[in-house]
Amino acid sequence: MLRRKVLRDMRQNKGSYTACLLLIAMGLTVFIAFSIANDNFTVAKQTLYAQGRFAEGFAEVSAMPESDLHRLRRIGGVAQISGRLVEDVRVLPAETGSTSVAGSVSGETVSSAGGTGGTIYLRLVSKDLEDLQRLNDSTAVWGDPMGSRERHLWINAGFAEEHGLEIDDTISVVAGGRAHDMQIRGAMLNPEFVYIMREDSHLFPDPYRFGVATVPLDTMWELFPDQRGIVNDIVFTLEPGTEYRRVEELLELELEGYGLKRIYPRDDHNSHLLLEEESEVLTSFATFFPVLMLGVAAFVLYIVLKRLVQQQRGQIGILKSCGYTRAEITRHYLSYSVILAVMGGIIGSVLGMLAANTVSRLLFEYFALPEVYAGFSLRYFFFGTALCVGVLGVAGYQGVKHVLRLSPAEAMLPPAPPPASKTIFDSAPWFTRMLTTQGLMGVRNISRAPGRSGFLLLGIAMSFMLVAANYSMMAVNMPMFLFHQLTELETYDVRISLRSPQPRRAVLREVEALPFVTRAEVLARVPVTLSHRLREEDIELLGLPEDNRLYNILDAEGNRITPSAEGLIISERLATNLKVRRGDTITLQSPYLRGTRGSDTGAEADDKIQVPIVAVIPQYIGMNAYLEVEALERMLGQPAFTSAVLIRGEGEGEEVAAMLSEHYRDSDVVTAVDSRQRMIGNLEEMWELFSVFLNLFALIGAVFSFAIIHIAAFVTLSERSRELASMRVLGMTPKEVFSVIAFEQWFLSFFGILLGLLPARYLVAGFAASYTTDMYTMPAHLPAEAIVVGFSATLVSIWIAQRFALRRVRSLSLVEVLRERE
Amino acid sequence: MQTGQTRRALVEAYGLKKRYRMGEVDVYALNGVDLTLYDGELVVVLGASGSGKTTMVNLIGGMDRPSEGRLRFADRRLHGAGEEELTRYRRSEVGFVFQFFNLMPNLTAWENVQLAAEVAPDPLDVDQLLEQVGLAERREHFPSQLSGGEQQRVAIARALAKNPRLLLCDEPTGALDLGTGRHVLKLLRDLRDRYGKTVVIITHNENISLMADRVVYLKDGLVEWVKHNEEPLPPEQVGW
Ligand SMILES: Nc1ncnc2c1ncn2[C@@H]1O[C@H](COP(=O)(O)OP(=O)(O)O)[C@@H](O)[C@H]1O
Ligand SMILES: [Mg+2]
Repeated sequence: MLRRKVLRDMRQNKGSYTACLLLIAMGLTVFIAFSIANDNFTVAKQTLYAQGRFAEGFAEVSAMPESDLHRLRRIGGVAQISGRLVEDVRVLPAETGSTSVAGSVSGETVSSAGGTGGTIYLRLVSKDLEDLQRLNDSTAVWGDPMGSRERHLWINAGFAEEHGLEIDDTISVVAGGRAHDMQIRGAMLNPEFVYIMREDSHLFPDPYRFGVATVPLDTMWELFPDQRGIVNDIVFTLEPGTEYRRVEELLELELEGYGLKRIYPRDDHNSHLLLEEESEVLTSFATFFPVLMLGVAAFVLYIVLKRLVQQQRGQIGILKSCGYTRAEITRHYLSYSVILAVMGGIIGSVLGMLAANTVSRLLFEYFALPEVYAGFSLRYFFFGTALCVGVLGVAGYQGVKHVLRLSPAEAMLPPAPPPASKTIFDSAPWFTRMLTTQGLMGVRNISRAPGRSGFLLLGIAMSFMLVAANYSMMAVNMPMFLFHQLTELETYDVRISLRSPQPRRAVLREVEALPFVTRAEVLARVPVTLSHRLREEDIELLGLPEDNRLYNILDAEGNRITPSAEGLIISERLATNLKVRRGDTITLQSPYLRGTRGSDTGAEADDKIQVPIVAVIPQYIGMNAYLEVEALERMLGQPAFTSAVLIRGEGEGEEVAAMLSEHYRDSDVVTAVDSRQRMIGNLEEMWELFSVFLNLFALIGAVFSFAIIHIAAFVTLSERSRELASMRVLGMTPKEVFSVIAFEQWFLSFFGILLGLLPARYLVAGFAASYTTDMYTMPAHLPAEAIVVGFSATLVSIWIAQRFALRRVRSLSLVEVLRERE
Repeated sequence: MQTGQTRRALVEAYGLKKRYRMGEVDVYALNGVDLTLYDGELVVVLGASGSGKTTMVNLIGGMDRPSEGRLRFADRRLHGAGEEELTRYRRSEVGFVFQFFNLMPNLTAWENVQLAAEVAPDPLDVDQLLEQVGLAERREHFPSQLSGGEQQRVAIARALAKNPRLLLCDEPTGALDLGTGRHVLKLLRDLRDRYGKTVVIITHNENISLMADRVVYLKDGLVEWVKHNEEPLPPEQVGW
């Protein structure tokens, strides 16, 4: 019988219970969807890694004869080692009629984030067809075997899809200064290229403009005749139980002679790193969101049940007088929680499992991962539902326990009126004297119902906090993070990247002579290891001319800093990691430094140089150090060189880029011609796509905080309907009656917003920290503008909630409320 | 009705006291009540508002515990009984009727009665009870769809559903008009006649006491007098 009562009670109060149910179901949906997606993601990653024998260490050298590789195999701790030739090439737009990539470039509208246009690049990675144990091997999506010495390649699946490439299609690439037609033999996924970006500083993959292809090793040598017999990229795995650092030291010694540029463990591999991070994001999403939802659901239920048992005091008395035991009555009231939890559990699980597939598919699409599903498991359903039952059960019990403790005779009596004593506000007569009677009532109510007032206060604080923090991220920090580099720091039209360092003056002279170029600057990029005491970082040192105009160095206030010849300007993140400050001296090592060994031009005997730090600047993308270019050359003992040319031209940046691209079409030296405008455009498109997601979360946050305020106002009303009705009987208008509640709410809002200010700061910092890695530093500003927005949004929520409340006061039936036995 | 010698004592109270703490001072709602209720009799408890009627009936019904004194129901000892024991007692032996009916608003008439029948060890038939209180066709109605008199009749059926030996009615007519009130009183007496229950009716209306076998008058927490009615009036003739 009581079961029927439960159902009918719930129907009567369906608003609150539906809200609870929605919160639980939503929380559980997110929990299950993201947990399962993360499982799938992890399994897919592991499958790909295992199938492809993903390396544990990576080294880049200038050139090493392939035949020397066997020496490295003997190094203690190295399990397997593979050498490859890796080169970036440009894809040529093909002539009409041919079955080449251009057919699809011009023929199809590609709806991907990037859109069409701009230069297309491929990273060719050699594949030793004879080595069956080769590391970082691909997993086929479709295709036929490649033939040795054939112009064959396997392309990464994302690129193939973007360009509509099929088996035996050909594409033209520029290699070794000539164009070659290559035949597509298959599409693949590769553990090394799950998150495919041409440069680490690109924030998003662009599968249209950049792809990866494997090519038979001997074909590769034919494409690059000057590299015949050479490999420039070495990957290895470790014997079980071996420490990476030890192997690295040994390998460093061995590879020194081959121009070692960089050696790093799997943990520093960008694609791997981003995968790990994504996994973390999924996990934190699967926890943070549901916990928030469940927490609020528990609180709402607590309030609702508390109110319910207060209202049903008499009914509880009856049940007791009928001889129902306390356990039976407790069970009755807890069944509200359990019903909600189980219903939420079932709805959430079903939706979660459905959503899991969608989320997984999105992940598999964004990351180049095989579609492997971890398999169906009820684990999360049981865990999630049990958690909900537990949490809501406790919340419900907290809500009902004090009424259940009453003796049956007491339960039959109306509750004693709340003790009306002086409140803290009354101890400040100057304050109460300022108030109207309604105001005074409101203020006293606040201190008499501390729980409810606290809830509203917290709700308002949270609402303000969420809106202000979200706004800061969306409108200020994220755009600053994304666009600062390409709009404030880099101001060229076109950047030309060179395959290897080239003589600076010759390059400049040549580029400046082009009719459409108005200004050209060099950018020297040198891999260095900076260390200070026991800390060490591998970074890229950028050499800039003193009169730089196309690549700026800006301090925190946005003022230009001239590249110094006296010492390094380093990024804040680097300074933090090395624990150094301006004025400190740090140690610099570089493979480029080795060219000076033996000479007595500044380099010390052990290839190390001490350099002072002259400035520390904010940098959001990457972690770099800067030095005046001539000083850089002097320091390294190198002749004048450059790795890239920055160009400002006449007219539109894209046009200049197109002309340069055409001019260097067959160049063996130019690996990339990038238009800054195009890069910004790409970024904007990605950002638009991304911000839809983020805005969705912001919206959920806003709805969520509105719900809290609404619930608080609703509870206030229903708890006090009798008091309010009495005021109406006295002849007060609904507006006047309502002003008691309104005053109370505005009063609390003021303090709620104050209360939310500090946490908002921390929330922004937390958001920023969650995006920040060694590669990316998310700024964490909470600008005044965000505070104003948060403030207004909160006030609007309150105002709307109050309109609803006012409507309820108007419709309050005086007769009913007053007749109602309390 | 029956003669005194053959009656069995059902409830026996000696020196029954109930103390409430009101702020700093102790207030005795009952200040040493001696009282015996016999099997099958209809007793009316009279007294001014605040004289301790409700308190006394609550103690007898096991809704509350006495502060002092002894209280027995048949061979149960109620003073010093624990919560669990009192619950078991209420479950099987006592039915309550209240001034404000106190039906579960979310249960129909039938369900309200069934609610009590469900937990009792030896319940009466719910449909039959509803028929006896004249509400057979109203069984599917919710309390809000019933008049005050009808609600009180459902409440009486509910109190009876457990088939208790003792029926305690705290101002059962207090919220009803004359005609309806008489109807309810008649029902109570008929049920007593049919089932042989002990019925206690609390009231501050002296007219009602005319229908009782015995009248107990409370004043300031003490039994002031007890009167035996040789000729109880039928409820139809009770004035208001
Ligand atoms: N729970 C309680 N707390 C304090 N005092 C009470 C309580 N219940 C009853 N009283 C007091 O005990 C006295 C008797 O009350 P009650 O038995 O309800 O009287 P009656 O039913 O005859 O009107 C009254 O003075 C009342 O104020
Ligand atoms: Mg009373």
